[in-house]
Amino acid sequence: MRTPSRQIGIVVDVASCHGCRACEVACKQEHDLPVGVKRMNVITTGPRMVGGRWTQSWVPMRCMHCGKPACVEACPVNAITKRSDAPVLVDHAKCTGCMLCNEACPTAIPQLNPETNLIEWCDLCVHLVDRGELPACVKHCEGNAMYFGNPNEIIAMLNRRHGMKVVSLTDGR
Amino acid sequence: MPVDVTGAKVLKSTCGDCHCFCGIIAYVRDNKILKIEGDPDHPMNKGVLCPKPLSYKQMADIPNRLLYPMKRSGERGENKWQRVTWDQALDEIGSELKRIRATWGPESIATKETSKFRQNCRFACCTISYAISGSPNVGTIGYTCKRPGMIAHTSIIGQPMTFEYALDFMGGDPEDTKCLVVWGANPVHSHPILGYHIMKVKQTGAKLIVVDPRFQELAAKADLYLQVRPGADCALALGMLNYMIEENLYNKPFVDKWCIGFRELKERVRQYPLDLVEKLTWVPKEKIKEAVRMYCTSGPATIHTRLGLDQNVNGVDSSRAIAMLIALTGNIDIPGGNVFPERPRGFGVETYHDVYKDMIKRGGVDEKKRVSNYGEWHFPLFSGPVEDTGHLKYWQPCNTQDPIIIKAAVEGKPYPIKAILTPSNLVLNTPGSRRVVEALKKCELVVCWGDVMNATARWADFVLPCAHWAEREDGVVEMPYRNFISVRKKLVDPPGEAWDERKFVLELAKRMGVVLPWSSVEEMNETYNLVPYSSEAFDVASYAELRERGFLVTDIHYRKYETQGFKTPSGKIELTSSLMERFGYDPLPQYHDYPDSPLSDSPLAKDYPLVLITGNRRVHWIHSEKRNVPWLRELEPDPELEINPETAKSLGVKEGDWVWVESPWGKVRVTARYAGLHPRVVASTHEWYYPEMMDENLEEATLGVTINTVVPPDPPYDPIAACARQRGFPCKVYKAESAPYERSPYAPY
Repeated sequence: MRTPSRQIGIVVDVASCHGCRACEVACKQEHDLPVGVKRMNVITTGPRMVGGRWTQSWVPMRCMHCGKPACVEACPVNAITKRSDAPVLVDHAKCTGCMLCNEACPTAIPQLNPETNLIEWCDLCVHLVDRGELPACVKHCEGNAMYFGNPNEIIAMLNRRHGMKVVSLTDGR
Repeated sequence: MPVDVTGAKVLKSTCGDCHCFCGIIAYVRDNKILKIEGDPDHPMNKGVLCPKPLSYKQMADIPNRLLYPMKRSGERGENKWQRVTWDQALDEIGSELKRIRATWGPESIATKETSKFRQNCRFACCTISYAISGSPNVGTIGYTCKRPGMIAHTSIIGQPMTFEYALDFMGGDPEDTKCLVVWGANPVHSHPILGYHIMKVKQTGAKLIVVDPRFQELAAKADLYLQVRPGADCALALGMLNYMIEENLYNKPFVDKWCIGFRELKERVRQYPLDLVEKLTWVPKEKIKEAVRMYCTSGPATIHTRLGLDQNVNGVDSSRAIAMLIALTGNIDIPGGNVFPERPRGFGVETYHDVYKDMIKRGGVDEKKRVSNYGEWHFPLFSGPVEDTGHLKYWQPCNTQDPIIIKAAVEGKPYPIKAILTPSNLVLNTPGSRRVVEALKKCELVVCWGDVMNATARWADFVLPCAHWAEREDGVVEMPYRNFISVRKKLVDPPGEAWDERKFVLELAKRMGVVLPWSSVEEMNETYNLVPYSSEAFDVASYAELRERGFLVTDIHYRKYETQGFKTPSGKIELTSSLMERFGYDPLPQYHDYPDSPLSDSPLAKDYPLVLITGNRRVHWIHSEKRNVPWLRELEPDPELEINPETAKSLGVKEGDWVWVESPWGKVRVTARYAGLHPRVVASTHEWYYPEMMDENLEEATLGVTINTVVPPDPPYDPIAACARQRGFPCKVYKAESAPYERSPYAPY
């Protein structure tokens, strides 16, 4: 079982993501989101011709659960908190949908759900994770590209897979 | 907020949204599916799932769902309907079938299977045509889908191979395959679970070679990518064979021991030196050499092929040439090579074959009258009497190509088709969509059944509501040619008066006085794959036991040929095929270009300078299904044409713009999307339609956007399987001034 001090997160092996977008739909099902609202959004880059070869890649974009989240500071009603094991969570009972968190976020991740007038972003599926399950996106990834757990351990595994030297994230990034 | 599943029943079953048959866990409360997730204990998918089942709960609310049997009350296509009882519908359909059979002969009645309800629809169509009507005409999806490859494999090796290595769910190990060739296939979208297993192989460090005109998802991950000209795969494979033999890269001991006809093959492929092949295929010869070396030297290697090869005039020969690459390297039935898995005993195609043979006998069918092998048509290996075709007979319960059925219905030659009964969305999935509508208008009886009012049902006389996969118990289901079967269970009740389609067929048989071996769907589930047809021993004692276990995988055995030989007449790999020779075909593969290719001096190729490939799969659709599921439609709100960014620029088109795609056979309006294609190639998905727009403008919503409007329905076909030219024909693209609607209801804001 997870200890409170242990950091959790989702790490994507971008080299294995093939853009099937199962993560997007799994997330929408788990959180019952309407059309237009995405907590998980797969971005396509390319196609681009580089050195005579086509290139294209896919990056699942979602909240990065920053070490020092700007959204926490920006929220005028103190609805956003950072849990000690990483997740940055919004309390929907307090949220007013003012969107100041979106303005503060370096990647403009927080989105307004027009059906509830509340802010949405990835909560790492803490309701599943806290009972030992995987987040919905990781559980269903068809590229075997998404991993959940301690980010440093996952990155070490991916570095071995790709034969790269081991770099690590500082805890609580 | 997370979806609330408190108090829900948690049921395990098998997904029915495509041919992968992944294990699912469904949360069901008050006859409603709240959530579907992957079953981590299931060997097929190990918990992962694609977008289709993940959005399945929204299927309950789709607006054009059929609830009651309906009879046309206005003109054909006018969309005026009268609700009727099942009894009335069955009585009237039965008496019409009797009248048409008496007036025009049994062969004037045709059905068309679909992938939609998987093997149940095959049962339904074969029963209606063969046993109930006495007609030999069951339209198949096979001519566009895998049957050309199966014919090719059978002619050389005696039976179809898997199109991939022994995946780990079959008992293989991702570490076994050191080199994987994906050729004319995009498993990420067409068989998502195979995409998953292929990524796992890639992650072990195996080499990945992709051969495809489209720079598709796996091409972006590949060590080597060969962008072949559409339709030239056969020339490429023959050139690779030539280089492999010239450079002595093939497995000589294996060839000496197990292959016959090597000398003749060597002579034949000498016609394909790499300088010529480079011209024919647009692939630089250095890349071809690199691919051959990589494939031959980094084995065990597997070649995964799919429909990219099937849907053009070289359909069978492309697969034959590629099967020879596999044969000459000995990558057959070894760990990490292309394999022949054995099905669980007591199940599978041999059993089905007996079922269909029995139906043909019950209906007194004259197979010589099959429209695709009669009069001007001659496709004996595909459409001939099933007994003639060796091991292939097991794979062909349905063997009439639907462009030929449609042509007969329109022209009355070689004899008229007067009734079409189908669960298939024919208007969208058959080359020449406008001709299909013309054919439906000319028929005296059109019956459609299914879950939704689709583009084809709009032209029907009777539309019958059927249960979707989660609303009925399917019994045993299987992914083709694998050592794996599972059971699909009912999760919720069907809406309104929707029936299991097999019940409709069994009831229709009773009306027509036809005795079938089963009287109910339940009885079919329990016996269809078991008694009375199979004489083999069983790996489970009963259906009930299998149902309890959920799935069954049998052990995989390699190198079975060492003790049993191959299933060809000679027991060897027949590079010069005796089966092909017996049916009057060239015993070796040969490449033929299509008449209006960009290499030809045909005026068509000048007026229509681009080459169109159609039918690219998208993981969120399964053919024409799912367009009205909001979470999926959000991923692709409008039909898309893939185009090289430079080509688009030269046409004044930006990504997202509406464009017309026009061929000599028709035109459609779609949106442009940048893709890594050759500047002269454009590519389109298939079977698009706007279900929500059909009421206001049927033409724009269906024929105006579905790519088969543009596809040539007439020959040249593949000479063996009659594959139509759905991939590789001339077209032009130009900017459209407007969209077909003012605002798409599903467009994300």
